[in-house]
Amino acid sequence: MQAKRTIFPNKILPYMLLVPQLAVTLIFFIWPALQALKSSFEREDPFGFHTTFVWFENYRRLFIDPNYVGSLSKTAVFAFSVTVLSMTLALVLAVAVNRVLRTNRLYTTLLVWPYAVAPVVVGILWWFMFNPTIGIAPYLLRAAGVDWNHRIDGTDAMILVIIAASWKQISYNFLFFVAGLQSVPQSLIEAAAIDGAGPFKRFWTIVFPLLSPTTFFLLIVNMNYAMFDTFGLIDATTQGGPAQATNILVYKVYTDGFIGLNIGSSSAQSVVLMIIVIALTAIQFRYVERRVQY
Amino acid sequence: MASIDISGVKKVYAGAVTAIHSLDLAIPDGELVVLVGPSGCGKSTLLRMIAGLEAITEGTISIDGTVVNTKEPAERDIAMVFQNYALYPHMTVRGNLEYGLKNRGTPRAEIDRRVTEAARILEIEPFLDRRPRQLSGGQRQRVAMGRAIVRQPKAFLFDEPLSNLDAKLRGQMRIEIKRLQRNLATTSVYVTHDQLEAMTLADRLVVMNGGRIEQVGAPLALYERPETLFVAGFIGSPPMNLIDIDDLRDKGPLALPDGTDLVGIRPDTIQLSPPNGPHLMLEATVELYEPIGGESHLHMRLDGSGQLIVAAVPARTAVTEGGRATLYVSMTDLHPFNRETGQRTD
Repeated sequence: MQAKRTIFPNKILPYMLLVPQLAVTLIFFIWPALQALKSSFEREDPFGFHTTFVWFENYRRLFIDPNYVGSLSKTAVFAFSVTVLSMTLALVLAVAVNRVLRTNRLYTTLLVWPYAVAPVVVGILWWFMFNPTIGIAPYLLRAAGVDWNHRIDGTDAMILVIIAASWKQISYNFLFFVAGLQSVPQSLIEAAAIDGAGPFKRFWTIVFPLLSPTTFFLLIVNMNYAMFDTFGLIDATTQGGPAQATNILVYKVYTDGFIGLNIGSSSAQSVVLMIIVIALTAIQFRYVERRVQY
Repeated sequence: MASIDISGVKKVYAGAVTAIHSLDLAIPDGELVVLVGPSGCGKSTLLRMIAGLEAITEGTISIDGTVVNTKEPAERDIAMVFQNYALYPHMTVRGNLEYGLKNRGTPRAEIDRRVTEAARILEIEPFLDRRPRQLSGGQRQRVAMGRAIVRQPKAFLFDEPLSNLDAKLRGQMRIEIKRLQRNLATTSVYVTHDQLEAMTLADRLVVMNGGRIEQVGAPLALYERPETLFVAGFIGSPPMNLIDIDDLRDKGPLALPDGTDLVGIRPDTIQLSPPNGPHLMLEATVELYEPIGGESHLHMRLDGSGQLIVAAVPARTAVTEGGRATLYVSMTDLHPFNRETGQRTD
């Protein structure tokens, strides 16, 4: 790296310049994280008068709680499905738009709109459309012989939140894929066409490998989105129900902490969630990123 | 090995921009044809139409006697070398060479044999397992050529393949391309805007301008007898001097055809001592003396009209900047043109 270095004659100035950024990070990220870490080792009485240090008791209880272990697997299903669904559809849309020459700006603009919708509103939209009583989707599904009711059927509920969460994320992924596709030189595709590769083969052997940095980046972002940012959406659609079917980790942190007021358990859960995400990201960087180098 | 026939080919882009006006060109088997012209003259468009990367608006292109208008690039059995090489960055050099053969279902043993052969010819064996980004410009150029020759196609298409190289390498690669094409005897179409490259490479040169062919012929024939003002100005460096006929009337026994109003004089036909036979005699002031090495260029201003004129003279000619010079041009070295039609008049 040939980074340009600035030498400050003043010893204090460089630190002063860093202070705003560091302050924001410390106050809004590091401090709460440490607070959560501390709380996860404590138990608080129901009235908040007294806290006892209980070592790993909160964690031990978590992992023998079938609800929590169930939530882990629900989260895995949810995050995996949202990532795969939203990335696949976004890629399909991006490829389609990339083929359109004249109106692609219009399509791009329209396809990006869902990203501007707040997660809670997204939840409400889909909740409304899939509402077993008044929604349009169950009405159509019933005509096709499917009895849709996400209020009592856990699978239906999971499908609903996956669709809603993916729908919003497609826009984001789409933007990145379009940019990625546009940076693939046209001459490479032409060379491949002359080299006897049909459109499908060109895509899988030339375009897709060249998109791998984008795909890798989106994989991490989508995983984190599904695990962290979907709280509002769950809250507006299923509230984790029915019977814990859509109670993913981040929502359980909220219900146990703020509704159940079990601060210790909730903190332990958020620490576990934090560790999971850090581990996933580390694994992805370590093993997946190697393969995207060329 | 194949001939390429282009007949009545026209290219009109959406928005009614005509890139190529009804063009005919026959390229016999094994010939290296160079399309040359300024940017926007339609030479690349024509090449891309032969390759199948651009739709043909009107007319037909045949390769080896078969009309290929509606055929996909892959079905035309041609290979193309792109200006930016278009190597697949995520594949090794070997992968790049093999790609086209694999897509065509060539047997493994045959692929290996051809790749080894091409790598030997182009001297890229040491790089076979490297990625394109680990190669220099010249090496990438060789790989791009290799990708074309392993396929053993009916024709090679070159789209300004040397323009991303520095001058020295360009000269070297030019010679290699020519040698390679001679050895393989594969019909080739080569597009460039560099007239030196065009002159040295071509079996036959096609000068294009504004979507039309200006003149077709052997490079030297074009140099010695340009049929249009455009070719006269485009081929040759330094370019031909074009002088109004009125400025030459009293300079010698002019006997030029009717309709001539502009006279072309090649810089290397200007002499400093009177030749035998009828000639022009011009007086000028030397403004700039430019030694090139083997020869020198004199930039001069003609007496009377004050027009700038360039002469290419032997290296150590005794003239000084600011000095006077008397120039002689043999009558047989004049190129008469009509300014209006842009055509040669004799």
